Amino acid sequence: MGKVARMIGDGLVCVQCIDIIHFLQGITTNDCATLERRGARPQYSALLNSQGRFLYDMHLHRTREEKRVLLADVDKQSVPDLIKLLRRYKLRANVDVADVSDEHAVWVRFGADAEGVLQPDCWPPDARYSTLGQRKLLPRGDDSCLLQDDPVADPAAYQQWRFEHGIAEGAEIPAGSAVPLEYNLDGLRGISFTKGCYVGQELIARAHFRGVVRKRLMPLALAPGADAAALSPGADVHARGAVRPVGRMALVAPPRALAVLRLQPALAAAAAALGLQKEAYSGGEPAPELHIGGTGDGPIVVPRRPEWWPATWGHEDTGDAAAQAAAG
Amino acid sequence: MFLQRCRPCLLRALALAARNSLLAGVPASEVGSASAEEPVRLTDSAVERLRELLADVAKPGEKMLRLTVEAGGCSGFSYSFNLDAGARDDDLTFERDGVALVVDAVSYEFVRGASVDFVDSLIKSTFEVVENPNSASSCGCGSSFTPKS
Repeated sequence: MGKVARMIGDGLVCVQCIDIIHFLQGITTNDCATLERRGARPQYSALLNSQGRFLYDMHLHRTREEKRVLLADVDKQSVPDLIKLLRRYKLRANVDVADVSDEHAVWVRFGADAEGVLQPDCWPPDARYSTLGQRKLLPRGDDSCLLQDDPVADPAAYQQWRFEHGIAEGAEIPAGSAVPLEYNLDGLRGISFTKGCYVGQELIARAHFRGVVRKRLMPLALAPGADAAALSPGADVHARGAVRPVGRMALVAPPRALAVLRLQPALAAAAAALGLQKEAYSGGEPAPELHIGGTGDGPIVVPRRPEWWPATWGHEDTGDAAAQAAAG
Repeated sequence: MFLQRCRPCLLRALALAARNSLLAGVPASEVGSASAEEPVRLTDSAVERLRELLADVAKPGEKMLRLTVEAGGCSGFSYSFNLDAGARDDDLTFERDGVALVVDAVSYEFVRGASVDFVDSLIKSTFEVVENPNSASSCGCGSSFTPKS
């Protein structure tokens, strides 16, 4: 059964430009040329700073009538800063940027069997990952498109659903410091590696073509009986017996949490928790459990590999994994 | 300034000489205007290449090199060059040895005091902005930059 929720933190920015594709192509991470096609589906994309760090993510929606206008569906908190940044990039281009959050609302439809139950023609699938559900802009106050038998869900339920799939968005991703590949924007179809230059491209391309991303955002489960209060963003996650942390907690919304973790120990712990001992940590030993804090008695957390992750993630340097572990 | 005060005679004389020689390089029409302080210069190789390109144009002075700064590129803003028919109202024109570079007023704020060079190498043959005092950093290929805030 699908559930429907209106996003509470939704902000809409309208970008209007004579040559809008050319303008956005130079500053966003994804290939805007695909939005030129009539009836093009919404696109997930991001803006980075020149150091290649994350600033804002957005879903770009083509409006049906006007090909010079795109609507960017972004976190409400980011709207003023995003508008300021777009105006800074404007220079001589004939660009008009406006906050139109009062005119449209972002709706999502999601659920365990979303694809089967929901009418695929009615709402476009989420551009990041189709199992996440469907996402659509509607005029404020218009609920005519909602199916009667879809229960309306609490937006917090949608956050839990995203966290279950290991997906952060908007202001959950720290602007100015987050590394886009560590927040999995490549796997979420938010980055084009063939489009050419955009702001921050040099560092993203280098990390991507070097072929190894060592840390990524992963969903975590608390071991049964553990104290949820001990989970706090920024807390270090350690493998039992190791001094150097495996990573740190990024987002906590009990009972779920997300953490940016080094893949090698985290995936080994994830496999060990599922009873898959084939991914032995090093030297044939079972992988150590992960816990919060460096003292060894913090609550145990169990990372999980999301289903949508490409098979190659975490195995890029399998050949010298043992050497890596020794060096680490 | 501090150094000049310490050893006034010699250093001041040297500084004056240097300033005079700088001014000598600026076209007479621009001395006294805002652009005279920080012109965008054309290097020898840029002048030479521009002459070659313009040789096909029937009337001399009909086309000029236009430098524009636009959003985009790895480092935030990128340079773009094209041959343009003429200057517009808010353009600044920088002439040297009979060829001209035009920069619009918005772009000029990003390239005050920079030089335009022509590079001919294995990887590219292109006009390029070099020694831009307004650039805090630039990307590997040099076609984009981060302005000083």
